Amino acid sequence: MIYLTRVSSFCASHRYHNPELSDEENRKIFGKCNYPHGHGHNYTIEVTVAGEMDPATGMVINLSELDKVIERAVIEPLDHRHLNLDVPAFEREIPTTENLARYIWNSLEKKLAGCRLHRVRLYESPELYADYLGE
Amino acid sequence: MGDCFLTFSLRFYTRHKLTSPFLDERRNREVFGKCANPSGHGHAYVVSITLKGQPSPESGLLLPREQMFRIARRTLSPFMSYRYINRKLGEGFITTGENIVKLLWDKLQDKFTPCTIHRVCLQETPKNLFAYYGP
Repeated sequence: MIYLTRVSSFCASHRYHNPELSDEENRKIFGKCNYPHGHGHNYTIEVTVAGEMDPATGMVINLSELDKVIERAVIEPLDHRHLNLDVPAFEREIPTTENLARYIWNSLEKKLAGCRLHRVRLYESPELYADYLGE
Repeated sequence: MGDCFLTFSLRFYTRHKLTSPFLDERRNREVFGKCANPSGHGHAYVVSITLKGQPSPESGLLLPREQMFRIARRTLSPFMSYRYINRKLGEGFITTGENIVKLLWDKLQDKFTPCTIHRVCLQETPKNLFAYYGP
């Protein structure tokens, strides 16, 4: 089994806020991430797929294929967006790094042919990242 | 839903010296080389803590960010932050990356409930990385 990791990035804004909590509770849980007008990140994602090499090509998956899948499923819907306002999945769910990693996993998982998704790693900053490896 | 893994990093500027109370001076010098220089030296250690758990339904977070960083900083600063770690930990403690990373695990282990710690990493320099997944 070979594990292959492809790195991509997108830039987006978001705000951590739970409308069911008071302003004070929101501020206490989310701190600066709750400021009313949101803030932004340069997200880096590492998509790791696992599979056997195709003997004819020596590849697990053609990187340009993988790029296309990542572009369509992840970058296009998220890049230069406000995650709370522009991404339907986050109308109710808070776009935390944890939830966003799972969202990316769910967006990619069914779209890969010939290999399986092993891990999504999402860097919100160089100091903080979330990993999701599925169920 | 599968568990989410969240990794966050902190930097500590720490002085240390490698010396073993079980070895004489000549042997210490042979084993540890310049790391045994008598006045010690320092590193910008990067500690990366990986938490494992389910995001809270209320916040979408494994733990509130400020709380998470505060716990780590409060737990580790007393012996790591701008300290001479040998002095803080006593003569019997050989301050190798291996020993320090295990100590960090022990100190942090029960601090992040309801999450568990999946891994603690200690980067001594960009060329040396120590990881511990628990006993």
